[in-house]
Amino acid sequence: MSPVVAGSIHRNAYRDSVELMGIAAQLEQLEAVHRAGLIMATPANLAVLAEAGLAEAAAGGAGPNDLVVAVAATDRAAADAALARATALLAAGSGDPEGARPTRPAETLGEGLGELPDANLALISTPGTYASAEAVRALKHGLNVFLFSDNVPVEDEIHLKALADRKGLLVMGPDCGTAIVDGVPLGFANAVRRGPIGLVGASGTGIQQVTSLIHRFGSGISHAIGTGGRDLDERVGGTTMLAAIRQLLADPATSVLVLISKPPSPSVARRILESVRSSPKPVVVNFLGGDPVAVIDAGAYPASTFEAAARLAVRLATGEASPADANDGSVGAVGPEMADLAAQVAVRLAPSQTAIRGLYSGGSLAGEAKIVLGAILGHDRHDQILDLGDDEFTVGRPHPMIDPRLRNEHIVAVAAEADVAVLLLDVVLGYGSHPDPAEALAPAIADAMALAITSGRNLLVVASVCGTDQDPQDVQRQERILAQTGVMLETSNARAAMLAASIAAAAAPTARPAPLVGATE
Amino acid sequence: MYIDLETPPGALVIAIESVGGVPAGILVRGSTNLVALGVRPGMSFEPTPGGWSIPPAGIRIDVTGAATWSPALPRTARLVRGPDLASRVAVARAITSRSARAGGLWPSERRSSEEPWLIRARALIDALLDGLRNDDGDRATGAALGLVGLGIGLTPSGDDYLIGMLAGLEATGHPLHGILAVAEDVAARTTRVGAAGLTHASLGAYPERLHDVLVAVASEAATSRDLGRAVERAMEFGATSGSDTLAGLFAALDLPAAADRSERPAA
Amino acid sequence: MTAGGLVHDGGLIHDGVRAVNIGLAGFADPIRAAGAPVVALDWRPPAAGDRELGLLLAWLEDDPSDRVGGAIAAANAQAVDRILAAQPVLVDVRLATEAIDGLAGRMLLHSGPPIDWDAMCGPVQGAAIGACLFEGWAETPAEARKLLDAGRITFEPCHDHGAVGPMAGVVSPSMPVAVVENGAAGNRSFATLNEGLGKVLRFGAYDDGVLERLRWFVSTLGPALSTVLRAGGPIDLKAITAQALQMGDEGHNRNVAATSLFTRTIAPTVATSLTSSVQAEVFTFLRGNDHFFLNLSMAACKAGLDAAAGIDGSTVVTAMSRNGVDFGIRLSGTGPTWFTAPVGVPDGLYFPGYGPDDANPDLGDSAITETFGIGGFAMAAAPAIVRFVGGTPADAIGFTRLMERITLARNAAYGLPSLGFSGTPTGIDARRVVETGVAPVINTGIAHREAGVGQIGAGIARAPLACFEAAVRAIARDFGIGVAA
Repeated sequence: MSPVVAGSIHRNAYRDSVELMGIAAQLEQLEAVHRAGLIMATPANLAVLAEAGLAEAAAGGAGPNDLVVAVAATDRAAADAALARATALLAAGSGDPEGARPTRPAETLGEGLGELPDANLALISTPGTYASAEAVRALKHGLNVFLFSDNVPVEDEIHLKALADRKGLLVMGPDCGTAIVDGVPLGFANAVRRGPIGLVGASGTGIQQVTSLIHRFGSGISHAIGTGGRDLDERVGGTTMLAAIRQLLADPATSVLVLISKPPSPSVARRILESVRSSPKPVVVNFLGGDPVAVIDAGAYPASTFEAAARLAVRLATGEASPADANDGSVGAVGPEMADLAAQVAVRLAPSQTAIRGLYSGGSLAGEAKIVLGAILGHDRHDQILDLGDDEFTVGRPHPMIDPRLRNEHIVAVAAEADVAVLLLDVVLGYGSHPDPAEALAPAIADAMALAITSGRNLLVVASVCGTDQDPQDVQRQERILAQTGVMLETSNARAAMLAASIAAAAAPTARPAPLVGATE
Repeated sequence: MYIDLETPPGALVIAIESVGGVPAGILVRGSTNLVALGVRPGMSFEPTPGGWSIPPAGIRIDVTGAATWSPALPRTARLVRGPDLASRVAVARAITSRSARAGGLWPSERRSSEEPWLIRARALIDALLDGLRNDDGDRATGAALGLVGLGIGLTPSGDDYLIGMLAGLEATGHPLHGILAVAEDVAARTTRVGAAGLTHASLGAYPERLHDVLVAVASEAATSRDLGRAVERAMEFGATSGSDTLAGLFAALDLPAAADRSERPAA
Repeated sequence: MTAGGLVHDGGLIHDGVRAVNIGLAGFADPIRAAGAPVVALDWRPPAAGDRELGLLLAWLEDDPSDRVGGAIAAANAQAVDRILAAQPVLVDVRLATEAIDGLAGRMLLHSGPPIDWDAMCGPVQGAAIGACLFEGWAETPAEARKLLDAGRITFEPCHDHGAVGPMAGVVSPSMPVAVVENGAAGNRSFATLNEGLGKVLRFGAYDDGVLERLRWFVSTLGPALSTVLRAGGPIDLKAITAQALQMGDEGHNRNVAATSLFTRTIAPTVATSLTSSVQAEVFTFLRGNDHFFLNLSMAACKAGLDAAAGIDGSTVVTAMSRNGVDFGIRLSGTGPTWFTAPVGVPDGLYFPGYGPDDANPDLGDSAITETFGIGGFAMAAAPAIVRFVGGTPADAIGFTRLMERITLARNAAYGLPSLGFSGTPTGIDARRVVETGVAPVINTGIAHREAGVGQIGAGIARAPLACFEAAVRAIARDFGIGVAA
């Protein structure tokens, strides 16, 4: 019983190949359909149809600008059903003007407010050129602003925050990648348990790391408010952080505050610490690489890494911590287990391999890595930590947290550099991030390792996964894939940096040895 | 947005500015979505003083203040053969291969079985490259004509491949560059849009993003990041059009130069 | 349209998230998944991507807590109220020099923003020549030209004298004009009597037929209408317009229903207060002139909009007009200032034998109807119009819906059946025009560019965005915005 071949012709129908392939795939899933294809009826394609035994499908005079749907099925009924389905799918994708007119979607904020009159937050991720105007508009309509866009001039930021201050509203940004308000993720954020710890941060991935670790340590967060990367600059004055601190101090659901940022200007730091001096709630402060003494003077708890901040906050929330827990702000020491591991793997390195190369998608995590490496190894080295999310890399291309291709190119390129001993990476999960970052990274890492071996070197890869078990990506699977690829995983970015530093130290014994005093937690 | 004109080469393109220069194209600023403004297939398109209009949608296109751009290959896109060029082409090809979507000429894990058109396309490509390597104009032309109109999509993959190939042949000064310029009847062998693209290419007019890839590949200072950026922008065209065009381009760039054409060709 | 962004001590973290997503669509999904309400805008750069203008617009937004935003919101509310409250009635027909202040001596009014004789387009020059002949200032067209070339005739815009004129819109002292009074605010506006189609003064014709008709207006039609109005009382133009909009008229390019209603309204009074020969002439004229009501419609709109003029800080458009060379608009908040830009040829269908090369650029004060919210803004009422631009009735509705995006109110007095009787989009806000890039749509006739040939087609024109951009910048300057960085 030979199959029945049938076809339909759609005049002047224009579709891209992905859509056509998708429809063909759906048709082939139908029962009793053997084969299906959708092509433009050019002579070349008709010849292909003929070779495939589907020539009759184009009977009826189809020309090069006509679309032919060809099916081979068990019987006539199945063939007709498939053709009908194809017609329906083509019509659905075409925005048929003769069909029902869809209501015009809101284009401007005013129109959007017509649909949601009591809106209280505008999320703005337009190109930077236009972001200020949208933010002004939103504030004037009484909305708080989450301003993801960067490339916003600092003068605009100052005006925006002055306007927001006058109206009692928050401007989170510009260049604010992360916030979580009332359990609702804004921008790139992790799925984190609710709890008593409130964060204010000028560092997007810093917030992601601290909130993820707080979740892993069994506690939760009330709100995580991003301020944008430049809020603590001298000219901006920390307006948003100060306003957020006020709101969290007044929030009954928050019992511990955590503040994170890279080092603010001294006057701004003073102002922020003043605002928490007489706070009834304990405040943990991680001004990355900043001065711990000023923090202690203000009655707050300094933490020098994101992990330390998370641990301290959890202990303060459960009442296990006391003023004596305010540490001296050092990065912490490498424990004996990590030192042993470092020594073991360091012997696999070739003599030329002494340097650490960091390829980061998160700017704050890159910053933390630099601090940790500096603290353990000193600064007279040829290490290089790159933040691939930085402007110079992202103009005209997607951010590395969404699109792994740029970082993968760099990873493969690192394999050719003879002095690199350790490749240090961050893998950031959560909303907005790539759906399967480990899967996307693994081949490039494997390629790099293999390439290094062909040159007689052993490239060691250290990474940490920033995420929780509630994130859209399956965190266990991510860790498994990376481990199977030979990546050495640590539970936090700080630890990963410490391991990388320990390996480098073990590989070059003439360098300053890592201190073994005490242990990290 | 494609507008069908009666005059050759047959189609006028209206696109938003971010697409980059296109032969017979008008780029409009901002993200003006003509479809959302009510433009539909079948509407009339009229010339006016200063530009064109689509009266049923109440749209006027005013080109009096527009900047112009030439679709001819710039001097910086001319290539000199050598090992450096070959390695840059290899890097660009690797990046394309990793990122190309399924459905075109590039291999993809998502394709479970070989489609008939792809088998035929590969055979024709082999014949075309063979003809070009051995200065066999008839073989090359015959194979090229067979590729016209072959493949799915608004511009068939074969057309895209040939457009990229023509750009590469022109950039390297290959003597058989005119293989399609003499071919008649291209219009009857493929879609309107494909025919327009091929006619433009045979007259030396190419999209700006293709220029950019050639300029990147030609530049001795180009890093893999530069190549990657140019390649990715070129691949944003259509679903598979961009990558299929690059396939043709890289194949042309890999052809041996006149002096050593008798040697074994690179893979 | 301010949001209920609650501002109290707790701030954002107390109220829960109710979001509007502006930009990358993907950011809306996690919010939705978390169960919070979110509206995703189909966003595009405002002001056609001009960053500086976009910022100006943002600072001009309504905002009750702000000096600027509060003033603009209040001023616009007042302007819209006055427009909606207008009660235009036809009270009299009198000679122009008696009814219109300042029209005396050798002066002619014309349509559109100010323009000098030597810059005028063909139809307007033809109409001016015809007016000189009609007034007796010259015996022949050549003499009239000499007078005009020598600058012996003063030209001023109709708009500056409370008047409006279709096409060339030339008003001379001895022409009878309709006098329309706005019962709500007391102001008056004026328009000549519509001559009909074919060879008419407003298209620049000035042959004997034209002059005869104009003289007949003076001798017969004008006084007849004046008598009828005194005997039968003023005629409610708002009521006629409202009815006509439900009968297939839109008040600019289709006026046959309104003209018929007008004729029916005056018929009993005509029958009892005019001689039978005059009755016959009047009815014959009205029966042959489908567009008689146009001039009355224009004057009614002008009366309503003038009442809303001069409100400090208002961005509502009070006039849109063209003189065949420039398109001009006025805002309530900037008073008599014209914001102009060069005007183009409308897009549409041409009568057999004519084409775009023959067309005169857009011309006339009749865009006052669109300014008031009818005409092209009420296209949903007159789907037949879209035949001139190759569209479907759905497209006609689409245009009215589109104009809703740039207007502040709906005029409930002018309900449109095809929109479920929702009112016409009224109160054009220049800020919205610039923000959305949606230019007001105008239904218009197309004139031949040579004087005297007449109408050669009909179609749609879009007001130039440049006028609105300039107007917005002027309002911003008035408020002191945008001077520094």
